[in-house]
Amino acid sequence: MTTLPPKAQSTRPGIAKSILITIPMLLLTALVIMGSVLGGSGDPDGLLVASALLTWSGINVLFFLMVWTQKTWRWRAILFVVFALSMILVFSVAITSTRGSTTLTQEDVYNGETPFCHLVIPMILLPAALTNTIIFPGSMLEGFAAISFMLVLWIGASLVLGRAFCAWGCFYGGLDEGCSCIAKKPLIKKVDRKWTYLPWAILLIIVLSSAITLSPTYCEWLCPFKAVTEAAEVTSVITLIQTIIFLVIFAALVIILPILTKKRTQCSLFCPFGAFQSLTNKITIFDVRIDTEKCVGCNRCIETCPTYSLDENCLKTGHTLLSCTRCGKCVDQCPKQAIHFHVKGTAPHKRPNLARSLFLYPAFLFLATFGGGTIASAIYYILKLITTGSMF
Amino acid sequence: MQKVKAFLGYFIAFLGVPIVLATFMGNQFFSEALVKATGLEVSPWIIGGELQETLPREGYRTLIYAPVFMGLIGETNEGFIQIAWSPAANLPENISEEFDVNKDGKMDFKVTLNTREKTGTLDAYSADVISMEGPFNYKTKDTLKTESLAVRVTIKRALKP
Amino acid sequence: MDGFLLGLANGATCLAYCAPVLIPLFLSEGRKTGGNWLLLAQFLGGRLAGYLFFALIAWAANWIILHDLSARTLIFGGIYLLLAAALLYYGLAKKQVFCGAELKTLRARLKNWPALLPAALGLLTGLNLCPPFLLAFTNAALNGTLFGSLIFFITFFVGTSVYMLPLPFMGFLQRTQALQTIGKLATLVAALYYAYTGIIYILQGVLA
Repeated sequence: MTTLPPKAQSTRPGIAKSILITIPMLLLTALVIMGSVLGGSGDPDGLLVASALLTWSGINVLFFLMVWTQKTWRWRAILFVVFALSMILVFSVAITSTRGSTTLTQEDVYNGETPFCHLVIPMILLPAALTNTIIFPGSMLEGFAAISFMLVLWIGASLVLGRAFCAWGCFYGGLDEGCSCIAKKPLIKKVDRKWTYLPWAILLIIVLSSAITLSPTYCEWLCPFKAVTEAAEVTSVITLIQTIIFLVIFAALVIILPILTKKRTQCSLFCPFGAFQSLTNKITIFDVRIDTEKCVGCNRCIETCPTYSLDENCLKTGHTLLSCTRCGKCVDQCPKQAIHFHVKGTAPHKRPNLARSLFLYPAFLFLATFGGGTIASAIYYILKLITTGSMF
Repeated sequence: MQKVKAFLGYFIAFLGVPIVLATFMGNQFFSEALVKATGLEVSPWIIGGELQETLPREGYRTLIYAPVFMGLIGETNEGFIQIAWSPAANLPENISEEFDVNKDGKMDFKVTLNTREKTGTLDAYSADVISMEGPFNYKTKDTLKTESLAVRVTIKRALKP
Repeated sequence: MDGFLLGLANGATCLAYCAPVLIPLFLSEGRKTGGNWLLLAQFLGGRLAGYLFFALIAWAANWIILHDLSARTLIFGGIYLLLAAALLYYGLAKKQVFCGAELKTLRARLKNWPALLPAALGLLTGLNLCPPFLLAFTNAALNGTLFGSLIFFITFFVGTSVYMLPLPFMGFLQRTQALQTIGKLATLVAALYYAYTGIIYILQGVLA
């Protein structure tokens, strides 16, 4: 058993300072959450206002705790998981109210009524560049999750967050993150590192197969989240095989393996978008650094990193692997406070609190805005169900 | 140099919040600008080709779309032509129409529909006509989004006009 | 286009198997980047010759044996299944698997004509019966015409060659291990796809 070194002195801010740091976030989230939830309705529904207020206050309590306790991962994970669960509910209700059911028929495909999600992005780029068309059955500008809406969101997220999108923006990531938090200790401790290259292999295959067939092959054959969003209507042996694949991958990678390994196995061992998004870590200004002088080599960070983004070599070089999602778990867990957020170009290991704040503000704001609207809608549907007996 | 790099680093980091705000609050504007600047549209393999011809009938119209053979580079050997009948609510119970895809004066296939039962058959007059999918409900891509009934006939490139 | 994309899809695998042969060649020649480009060009020329030879065989196989056969889809389905099994084996094999161009043996045989070494290496990797290559062969045979078969192999060659282009830059060596792993895993994913294709072909053959 590994003996942990004694904890380093914490630099926790006082309550007043924490409140002061939280105030700008209170205002910003009020602007974006209230704006997005209440903006469209002239005379807002009381339930909608209550849902928005509840969401806004909950989110800001989490941000305050993040600032006050100096723990990033713990409070982010709560919001992230709630976001993912809310997304499933809101997605199902939105799709059912526009199409009548969550199953995807061939008619829905031909009518371009499928909501676009970021996982499709790597597959559409090559055909878009060569044919100027998007090989996804959605709408460019209209309806729920239109293609251009999601593309703009992805560009903004990539510029600011890089692969941190996978920890602060992806509405699926919270599912395996939630499952990875269930067990107290991992039952499977060692996973061969070569499997961390599997997302790259899948990325290679799906990008090329989508280009050959001019259709999003990952969505058609491999996406585990079809199991909880909108799988194709089973009308043939092929659609039956596809549905079985979705269910098996979802159960294995999003539920069972995260519980057994305490890792985000879908995100780190399968998701081709995650691999693709890793490349944007090269353009974002934020990264996570390890102070090799402070590090005592206890390997706690390697053991706890949910995405296999740290190895022993990282402890020598002071850099994380390209797949780092800046979820903050290693920063929280390091007993010597040797790991911290960092702004590229600045001196490493100096003013880590400033770097953390500079990262937390846009990252949390992204999660609060993207997730806030969804969580508020989910609360609204639940309140509506309680008060009227129907979500619609 | 180190100070300049640090200054630039912090400056770009400070831009994070405005970029996130712009991403969400300016999303409508940027989305429209993106579509306008790139001219991107959904693949015709998914939503059908451009509307090419409208034939007025008694109480309804037959809409013929451009055949789709688009490949990643060049064209594919097999494609499809989409035909729709609109508005769906005004259609007679039975429709039977012949089509000349390559405009050579000879009909290439006949589509027979039962609009109530939503069933259809294809009579191919040429070896270049392969199969038919549909009929299925289809909303026209114009601003009216009229409910129609459509079929897709798979054809070989030899039939391209 | 299909040949090019198949080449691109499997090029990482080709690199995974043949880079350990190519890189020692570059290193042992000890040339600078410019010289390495010349070596690579010679190598690729030899490889293209090997591919064109196989394009002819693929066309002949289809013309002589397969084009008239009623059980064509069954045979191709079976071939796809066998290839999928071979891809699975190659993807899971821990050892470095066979590559047509074994440097030591070849160097010994060509010691009197060292200038031919890169082209001979290329030819041998071109004639190499590795799984991606056999898949290309099957697809070319399905194509039917001589012209189609030649075009298929030329585009397959271009697709796989894309991965070889960075090799003359020696800094690339550091990434070789990762690329090899990705290549092997891509082989596994491709194996599943080809197994599915094989099963569908066989089902079509049985139901026809």
